[in-house]
Amino acid sequence: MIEKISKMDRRIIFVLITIALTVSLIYSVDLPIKISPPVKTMYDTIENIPEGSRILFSFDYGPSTEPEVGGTAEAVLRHLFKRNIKVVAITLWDEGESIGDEVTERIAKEMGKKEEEDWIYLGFKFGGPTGSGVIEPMGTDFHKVFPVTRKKEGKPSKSTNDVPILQDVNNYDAFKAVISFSAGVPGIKEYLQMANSRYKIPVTGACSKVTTPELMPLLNSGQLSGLAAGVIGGAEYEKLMNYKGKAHKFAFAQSVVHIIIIGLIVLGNIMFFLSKKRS
Amino acid sequence: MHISSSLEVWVGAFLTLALLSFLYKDNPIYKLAEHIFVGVSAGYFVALYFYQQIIDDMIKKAFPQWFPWPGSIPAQDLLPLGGGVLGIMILCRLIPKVSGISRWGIALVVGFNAGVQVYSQLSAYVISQIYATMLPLFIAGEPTTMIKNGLIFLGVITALCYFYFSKEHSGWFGGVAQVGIWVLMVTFGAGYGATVMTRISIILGQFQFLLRDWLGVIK
Amino acid sequence: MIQRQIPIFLAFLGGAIMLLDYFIAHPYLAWLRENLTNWARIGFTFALFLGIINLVQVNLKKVARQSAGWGYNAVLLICVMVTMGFGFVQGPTEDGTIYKWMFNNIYRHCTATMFGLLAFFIASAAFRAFRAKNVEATLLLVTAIVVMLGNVPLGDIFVQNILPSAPKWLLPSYLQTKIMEIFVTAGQRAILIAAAIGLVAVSMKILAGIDRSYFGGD
Repeated sequence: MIEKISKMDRRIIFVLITIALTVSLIYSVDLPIKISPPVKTMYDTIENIPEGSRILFSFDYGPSTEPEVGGTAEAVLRHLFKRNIKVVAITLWDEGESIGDEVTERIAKEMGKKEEEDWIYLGFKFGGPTGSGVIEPMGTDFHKVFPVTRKKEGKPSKSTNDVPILQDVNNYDAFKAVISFSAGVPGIKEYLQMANSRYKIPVTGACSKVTTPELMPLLNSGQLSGLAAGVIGGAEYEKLMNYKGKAHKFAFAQSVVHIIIIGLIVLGNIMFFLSKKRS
Repeated sequence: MHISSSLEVWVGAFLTLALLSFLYKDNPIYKLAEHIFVGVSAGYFVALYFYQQIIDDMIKKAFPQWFPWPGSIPAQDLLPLGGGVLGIMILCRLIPKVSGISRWGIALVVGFNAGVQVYSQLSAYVISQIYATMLPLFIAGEPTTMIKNGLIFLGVITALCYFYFSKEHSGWFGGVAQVGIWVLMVTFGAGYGATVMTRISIILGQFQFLLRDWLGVIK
Repeated sequence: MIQRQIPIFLAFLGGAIMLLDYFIAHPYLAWLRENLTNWARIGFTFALFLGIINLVQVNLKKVARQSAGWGYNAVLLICVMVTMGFGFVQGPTEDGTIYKWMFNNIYRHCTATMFGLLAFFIASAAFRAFRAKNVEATLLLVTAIVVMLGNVPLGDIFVQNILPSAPKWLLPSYLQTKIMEIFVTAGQRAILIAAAIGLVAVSMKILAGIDRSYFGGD
């Protein structure tokens, strides 16, 4: 019996996970969300940005990590627009090109914001594997890194010098903070490494849960001004914004699958100790 | 249940299920989806990079008069063409007779990155992190903060001792390194938990697509 | 001999300009650095094209030779050409194009599913391989369980159902926060410092011409 369970076909586990995912998504339950200190710090950082200021918003994630970080990006954008903070959005991830466009346009429309005056999305710029080709030079000449706007809907691109929101932007001094939504490299860590350490611009943002351990020392040292990690971080931010968005919907399903995986770990270890005892 | 009649949704659902079929076993449908994925990714990246980097960053700057501008025409700047020369050097790798030239372009790019890393790594990760570890170990009236600071300080020192391989991990030093290993094990355990969370979130997104957009079972 | 010396000198030049600019605030140096960065950014892009060209070459060879599974390679090549073609003709930022359609309906779903597949394998590996065989493995296992439970709202509810009078410090969310704030911070900090020193050492070796691994196999 112990042998049978220990050597169970892994496809049974796959079916179990599939059923758990499906049932928990169909029969979703609202769970209480507790606000964690890093998310509160991030929220407060944005709350303390003076109205009318400008921030640099970086969509550093792709479609695969959109469920984790996308909800937070939308919640933060709503927060920024609600506080009349101007948003200059870019992306360092090639996969994030259309995501950034779709999200900024949709949220800006919802919040009644005017393109080129209240917000602009400048699109993707490749800065090398670590983003150093973009993050570093933005600190000296922003317009050299983004000389033209994105060509869109038949409208030709124009010089960024002709865009009202970018007119007096020369470097990071024009921004009150960098908010990066990152799922890997380049992302928050690279902004901290190059923008924060040299140009002293505050950096905050959200990340996928897998990169959270790497960012803990930077959060603890104060280099990172708050952090919303994963889906739950997004749900916490949504709670602070008083609405239930994308991130909230996954909280229950995530919880259920976690408990199943923990159950599998415990079962595996019980089988291990029992077979050890036998032999 | 309201099954979608949209072609886009059916294409997405077919590819998702085709890739998920790998969980049962490797099969031709999975292989087909995998090759479609690789092909579309490669094509996507080439077109995007060509427009965003080559056209916007180089050609438009060097020859602005070739493009329509709704506002003022930017001043000509021929310097970005140097990047094109660098790029052509790198592409020389494809021609065996002149492949040596590709090393010039790669060397400049590698050197540039190495220079950036020296400063940024030292500043952001070494100096700042060492500074952040220099925590007060005795604070009157705050025992919990004292314990927390002490644990962080000891944790960093012991884990760094583990990474010091110039001295044999034996005796008292071995003991310290052993504590460092325990600290690292806790770190990796947290990393594992975090990885599980990320992967589940990703697949949840796809399952939501299948159940909501394709089958219409959830709203 | 000179063939090897020129790239070593260029690597040193590139790195030296970047490094000097951090310490010497001179407009000419800043101008040099800005343009070098721009060139490097464009150079990286060509390096990417090199990879794609290699991909096409490898697959073309397989189709030409009709090796096993060449049909899949042909599909790959068709997809590359079609996506690239539409991207060049229609532009990558325009909405409603076939290029965008292929990204939204093929790439997005494929990349998410490929990454998500790992969730199943993690679950299977957790059952089969995650064993508390020694102190280190037990520490890893227990921490993983606490972090997984503590990160989701159901974790606290689960513990409170088993132990209704559980104190705050026994709740997974509290334990998880403390583990992250103290032990993960300490461990990751050590890893960060050690890795950063290692990377700086490698970068210095590249600048000094000692490390020539970027030459490739030639």
